[in-house]
Amino acid sequence: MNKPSRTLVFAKRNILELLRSPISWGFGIALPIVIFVIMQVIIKSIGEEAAAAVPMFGVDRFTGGVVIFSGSFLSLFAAMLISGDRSQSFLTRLLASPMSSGDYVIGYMLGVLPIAGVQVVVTFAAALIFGLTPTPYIIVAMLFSMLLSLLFMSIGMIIGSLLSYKNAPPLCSGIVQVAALLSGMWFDLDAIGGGFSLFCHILPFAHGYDLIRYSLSGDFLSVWIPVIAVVAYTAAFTVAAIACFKYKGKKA
Amino acid sequence: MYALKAEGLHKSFKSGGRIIKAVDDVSLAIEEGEIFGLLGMNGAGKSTTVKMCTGLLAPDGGSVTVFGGDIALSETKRMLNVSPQETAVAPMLSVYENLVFIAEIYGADKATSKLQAEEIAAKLKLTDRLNDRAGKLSGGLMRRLSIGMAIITKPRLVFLDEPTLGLDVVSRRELWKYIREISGSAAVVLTTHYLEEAEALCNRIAVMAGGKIAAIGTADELKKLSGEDTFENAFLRLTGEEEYIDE
Repeated sequence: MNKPSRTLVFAKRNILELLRSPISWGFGIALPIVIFVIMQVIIKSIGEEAAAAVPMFGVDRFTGGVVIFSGSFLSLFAAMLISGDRSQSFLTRLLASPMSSGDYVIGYMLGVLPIAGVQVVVTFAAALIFGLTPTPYIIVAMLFSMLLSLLFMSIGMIIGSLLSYKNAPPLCSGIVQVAALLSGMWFDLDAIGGGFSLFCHILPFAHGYDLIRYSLSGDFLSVWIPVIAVVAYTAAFTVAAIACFKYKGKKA
Repeated sequence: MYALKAEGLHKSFKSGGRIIKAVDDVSLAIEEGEIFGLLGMNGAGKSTTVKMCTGLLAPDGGSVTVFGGDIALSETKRMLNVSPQETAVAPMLSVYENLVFIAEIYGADKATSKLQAEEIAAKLKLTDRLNDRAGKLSGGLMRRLSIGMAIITKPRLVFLDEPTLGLDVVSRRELWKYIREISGSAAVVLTTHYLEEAEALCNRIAVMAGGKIAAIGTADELKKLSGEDTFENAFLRLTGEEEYIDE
């Protein structure tokens, strides 16, 4: 008889938990559309000519911001899933089972991945509806958006492993704010320059925003530094997430 | 062969710069098919002992084997299951999905896990609720599901941590019936603060105090050992809380 893989069984459970939660649909799927609609309302209010003078309001740049802002909510989903399992002792049940560390980490990540995929598709579909020029570069930008999803998932896994179900969501909303603020979504970091811009580029969020911006414009010569930064941060956070999970697992 | 054999378990924790001995030289030998009670006041070391016996916590010293196998091995873990103190169910999954999920995690194929889920649901009178979300169940039904998830894998050793906490008397008696049934095929380690529950269900009881085993025996043996008529008074005397004994 065909025995399902433990990792996939666990991932399926995580997918169902997330897909059946209204929070996932609200903040994961509907949010990108809502942000684009709000942006259109703002542009209409200030007038299209005035808006055209502000580069941040351009749909190609704003799409990168939406990817960062919506994607940062994936950290909330991952954190709530893990901290919820810990607080309700569901994890105790699983830790006593024959599951391995790899089953947990991959199972949690695979659990959040479908929401991330749908979110990316919805974001770019909305961007196309609101004026993004259809080019083959969109496919590349979507793939990079999935890479950013992994970054946010790993942040969520660290938070969910270390904090309680009560404390994880407030910290994640802090991450959402910080990610949006320091990504360059709301103001041009190059125009500000100086120490603030340098600080923003030490963190991964501005690189994430640049990654989508450059890939959408087909500027693949500029894309390498953001790619390296995002991949390095994602790898480091994933290793940290595994270490945190194992550390807390031993103290279950 | 013992269902569970723990020898010389030690565990200390650092707290506020001090080292606290949570478990100090605890040894247990639990027979196949027996219901074994682990009692003690809060902080006596029960939970730490159970965590070490289920492989959740590595002991500082000593060893644990389940049917002769090292607790750290995946094959050994397959033989045991736990029902934690909190209800420990996946709230967004249905009763059926929760049962199937645990069966598959322990290696059952899809067809077998489906059959096992239906069988356990029937045994625990959950058949009518199979499609209900676990998070929407009442406390009693959730406890029943939690126990169902602990026995669906047909374990040879089951740990039930406060299985009847917060339940009304009817729900509690119903769970007692299921626990007695489980002991027909598996050894059961039961931790509870309800002394009448331990007295009614357990073949043998270990009383813990200060991280050590204060006494082990049947409820009658513990009463005799402490020189008390009631099990509650025997428990108070064995845990060093004589001042609370009703004369």
